[in-house]
Amino acid sequence: MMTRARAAGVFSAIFLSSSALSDDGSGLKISAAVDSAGAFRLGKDDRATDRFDIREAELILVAPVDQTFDGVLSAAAHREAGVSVFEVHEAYLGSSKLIPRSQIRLGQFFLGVGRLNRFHRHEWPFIFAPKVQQEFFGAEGALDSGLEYSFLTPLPFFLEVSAGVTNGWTYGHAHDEGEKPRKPTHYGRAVTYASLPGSGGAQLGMNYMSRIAASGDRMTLGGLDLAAKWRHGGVLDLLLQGEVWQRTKTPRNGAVERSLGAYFFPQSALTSQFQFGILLDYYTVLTLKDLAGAKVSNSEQHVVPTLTYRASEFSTLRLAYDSSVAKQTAQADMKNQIAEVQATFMIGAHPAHDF
Amino acid sequence: MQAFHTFACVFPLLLTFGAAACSAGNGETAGTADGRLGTNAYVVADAGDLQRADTHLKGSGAVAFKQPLGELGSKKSYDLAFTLDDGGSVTLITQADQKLENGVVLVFTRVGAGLSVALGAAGQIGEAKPLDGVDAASALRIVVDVHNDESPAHVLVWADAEFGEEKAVFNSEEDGPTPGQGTGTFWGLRLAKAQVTTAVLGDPKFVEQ
Repeated sequence: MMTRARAAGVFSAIFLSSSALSDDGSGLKISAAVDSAGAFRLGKDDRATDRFDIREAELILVAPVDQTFDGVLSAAAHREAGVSVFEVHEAYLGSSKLIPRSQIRLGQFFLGVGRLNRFHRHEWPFIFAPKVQQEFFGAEGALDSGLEYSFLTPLPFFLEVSAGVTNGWTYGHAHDEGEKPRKPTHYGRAVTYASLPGSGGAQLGMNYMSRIAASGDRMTLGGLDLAAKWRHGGVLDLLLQGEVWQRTKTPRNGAVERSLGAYFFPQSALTSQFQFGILLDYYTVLTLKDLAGAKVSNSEQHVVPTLTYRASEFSTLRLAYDSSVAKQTAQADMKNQIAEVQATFMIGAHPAHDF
Repeated sequence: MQAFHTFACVFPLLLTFGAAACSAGNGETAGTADGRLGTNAYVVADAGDLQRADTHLKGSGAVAFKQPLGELGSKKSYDLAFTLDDGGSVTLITQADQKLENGVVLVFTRVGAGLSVALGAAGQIGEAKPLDGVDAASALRIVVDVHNDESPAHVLVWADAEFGEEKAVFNSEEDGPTPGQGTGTFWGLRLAKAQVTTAVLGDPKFVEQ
């Protein structure tokens, strides 16, 4: 991890140089996004941070490098021990012109799998990651350096297939540089799109990811993601978003663990600026056993009604209530109720949206 | 549009009930336990000269708790109350296999009035670090967080009822990293000239946003 002074220096250099470049007709687009969020206990035994903080402050620079490549750099500040520290978030060279019908990313980026993992957190339709996202990809998403290639197939319907390979020295929440893996992180995704009646559209993706760590621990993920939207006059009338994933972890010297997680988020517009949705979140370890080898039933479930106010697409205020219960055989249910708030805004150039 | 609103309402119910059905069907698990410490049933892993009662474990030996941690990459707290004879130790072993091997290990050792902790994982054990301000000659209450979802496992130790990263008397991110992660879902205790009166598993005391 960079020292704070060095990080501040890098950030200053990025900002100053980008300011200088922004006037030279290079096509440089600069934007900044700030995501503030808080979680508060509703009962004395409930569990939450009881803080409202700037979760992320992100500076995003996008520009054509030349006639073939685009460059993307984002630096995000995260809280580390109470202090916001800037780090390189994404930094990659991309091209949709090098090979026909293809897109390439080379550098550091959020891995192109699933739904949430392909978006920055301030673009999510709810405040905190569902349990399955936290467990399988980390609270923010899986990020690594490598190469990703996408190909739009020449079929009469939309079908794009992607494959990526990244270092895989670490995966998820890591505090060191890790070690060279036996098999790097590699993944694939096939996504299709269909128009739906009533000015709607749906995107469905199939995903696979795997890695074998230096220690010999193997992880394999498979999942489906769905996003369906109905818009009317620029207003998102209805959103249906969900993912279901299964993970298999095979430790070098332990029992195989299979986990299943899913979330579903239907959201409907109340007015042109207010939206209401409910996040339903479920997670279980399918292979959990006790010392005697007997199966242990377990699950964690969340229901999170979420009210969103969007004055425009550049600012969002959210209020949510998270009611959860964690169950495990022979143990008391662990219930938790928290209130969540979020405020996000984006200033500067407006980047293109994915579906 | 009405049909889609209906779908939006019905689909999550199907998802929830379907998923619940997948995991249902188990009551109390089979298998015998050798005893309980509080509400936690355990199996004796090393009888040694261990004296056992529902209120305490005393002497030298080891127990493995019957109920598993939630998963390989779990994030849990361990609330321990114990006393140590001079030279005695209590070892918390967690995220381990059924034999209490291949886990994250914390060895609390008393020398005189001082208490030290040595952190281990993946078959390695680190150097013992003194825990400043802790009087090991009196009854101890130690709370440990082990975040095995991080690589390497993040371990925090508190000797007070105030929690937070800055209140920890040991933090593996600052005082020396854990040499790896645990690769199992069980936990237990090893005692040497010690008495343990409380061992409670709970949610982590420290949560990163």
